[in-house]
Amino acid sequence: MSALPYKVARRLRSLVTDRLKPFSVLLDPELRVVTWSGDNNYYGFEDLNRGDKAWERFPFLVDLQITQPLQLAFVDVNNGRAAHIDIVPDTEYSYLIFMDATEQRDRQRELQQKANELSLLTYRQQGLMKELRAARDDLAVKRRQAEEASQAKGRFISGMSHEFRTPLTSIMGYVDLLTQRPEAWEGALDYLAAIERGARHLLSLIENVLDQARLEVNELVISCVPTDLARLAQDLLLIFESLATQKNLTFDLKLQGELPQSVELDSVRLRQVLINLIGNALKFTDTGDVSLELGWYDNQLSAVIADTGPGIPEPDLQRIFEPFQTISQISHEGAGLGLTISKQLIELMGGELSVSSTLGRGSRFKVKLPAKQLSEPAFIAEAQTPWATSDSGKQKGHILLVEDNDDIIQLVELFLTDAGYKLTVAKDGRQAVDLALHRKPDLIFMDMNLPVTNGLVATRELRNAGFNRPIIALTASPSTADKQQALDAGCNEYLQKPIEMPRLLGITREFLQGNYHVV
Amino acid sequence: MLSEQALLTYKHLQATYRASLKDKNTLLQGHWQEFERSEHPAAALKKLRLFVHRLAGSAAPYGYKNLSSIAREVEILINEYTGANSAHSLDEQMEASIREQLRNVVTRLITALDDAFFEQAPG
Repeated sequence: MSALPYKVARRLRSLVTDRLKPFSVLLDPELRVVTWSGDNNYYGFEDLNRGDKAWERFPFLVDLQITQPLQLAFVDVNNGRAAHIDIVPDTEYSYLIFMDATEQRDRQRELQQKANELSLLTYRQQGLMKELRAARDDLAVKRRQAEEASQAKGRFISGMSHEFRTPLTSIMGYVDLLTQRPEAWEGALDYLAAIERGARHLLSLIENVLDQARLEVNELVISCVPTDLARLAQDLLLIFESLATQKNLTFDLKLQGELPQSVELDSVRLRQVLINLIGNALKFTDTGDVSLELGWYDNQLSAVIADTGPGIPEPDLQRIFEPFQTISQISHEGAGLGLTISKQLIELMGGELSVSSTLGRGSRFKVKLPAKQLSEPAFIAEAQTPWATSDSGKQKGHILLVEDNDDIIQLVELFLTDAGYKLTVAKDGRQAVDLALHRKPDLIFMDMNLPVTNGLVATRELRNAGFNRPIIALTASPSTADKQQALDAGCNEYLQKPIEMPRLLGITREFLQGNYHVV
Repeated sequence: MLSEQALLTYKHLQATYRASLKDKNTLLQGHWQEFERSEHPAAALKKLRLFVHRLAGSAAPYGYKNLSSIAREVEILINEYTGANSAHSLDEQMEASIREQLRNVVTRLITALDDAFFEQAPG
């Protein structure tokens, strides 16, 4: 390479000097400063002296063996500037050559900072993306759940409207028949019975929906009372025996070992659950038998309801206790809430309800319910609080109420049916005589002041026709003569109006237990 | 005395009964005016008697004992009025006196029905 022209070389040297701010220091073999040239002030070495110890003034030399040329890049010097430093040995002496790298360092730092910021942003962005994905997934799950809930409610509403419409259509049909075609009155009792069945079915649907709503908001309260399990079982047998017979099925009650005379539990709710389970078993079983097996082990009541029905497919078994499920076998009738409510009720009482089933062979629902065994028999405890609960003194019996005042009918019906009695209503004396002779109720409440045929005449007719069950007169008159007249006509007792419901229930219980004078 | 479920139904029946008190009041006033204006009050009185008889029987079980007892007072007065009238013809002074008593009690019953309709349902 040929030499550059002098002017060019000078220009270049001037450029290098301006840009690199060169500064060189000569060090002796003991690494002490001998001499320096260049811009020492630029690098903060205004006070450099001959003989200065190099490792004190230039800390980057500490522990450094200078045996060959060395380059140190971006060394921070005293005044905050940066330099690339060349160390050039020359025989036993060495040169340190400083070249300015401040701007380069700052630019690099700035770049590094930007890169750092960028990676921080990227990191944050990744976090946000992750959150966004999680939120989107969460939203999808929630949307799916909402859709499923909405579908379930939709199925429930459409099922319920069908369930409500069916008995309502039947009720309205019979009512139309009775009101518009007088000749239909010949079959009136059957039509009324059908209307009653329809109405009761509706009532039980509504009760189920209300129970479910109360369970959902934790408003359902468990109320434990002394309960006679054997009597409860007998009641269930009475309720379901005839239904089973109608379907040519056998309904068996099996008591495993000896049951305690009295245990403390919510008998109303337990009865509700057992009625639901036995009712289901009978509904779905077409041949064979349904049984209720009751046992008492380790302070726990065990009730097993077994049937020889079609059984429940495995996938349906998993969902059988969920509300509003359209399980082929379970929900073809009803709100699809009975089993949900039963399970929740049993769990609310501290127990368990489980199911096992074999397709084609039948199903078994098992209730395990812890309860406290009492030393006193249940009926004694009940007698101490005669009106404490609706269950106390429950006796099944059929009562005929003869009354033309709808306001009173509604109340009496509420109190008597709530206490477990079956009620039929007649609105005049003529209808009362027909119904009583046809249906043979266990007890009649007869208003004396009735249209068509009054209560006195109707009572006399019934006694003359051989009706020998108790008749209680309902009379508004406080006069002894009127009361005597009612007794003379064949009434066993009279109840002064306005009726006091506790008295009405008391007298019902008294007479149905047989504590009355035979006419 | 009632189960939780039946208690709800009872409250519902009670509310329905309370709502019916307005119509019952209108009916009562209709019967009373018919009696006051009628040339032959026997038929109007029969309707009025049946009305208060039913009210006396139904109001108390729904918690309106006061209504029941005033309705019963009206029923007893009507019984007296018709009983006395059928046994012997009432003189004008006697009839006017019983009518006045009846008017007073019916007015009390109208007010009591009004109060019961606008008050809270009895517990």
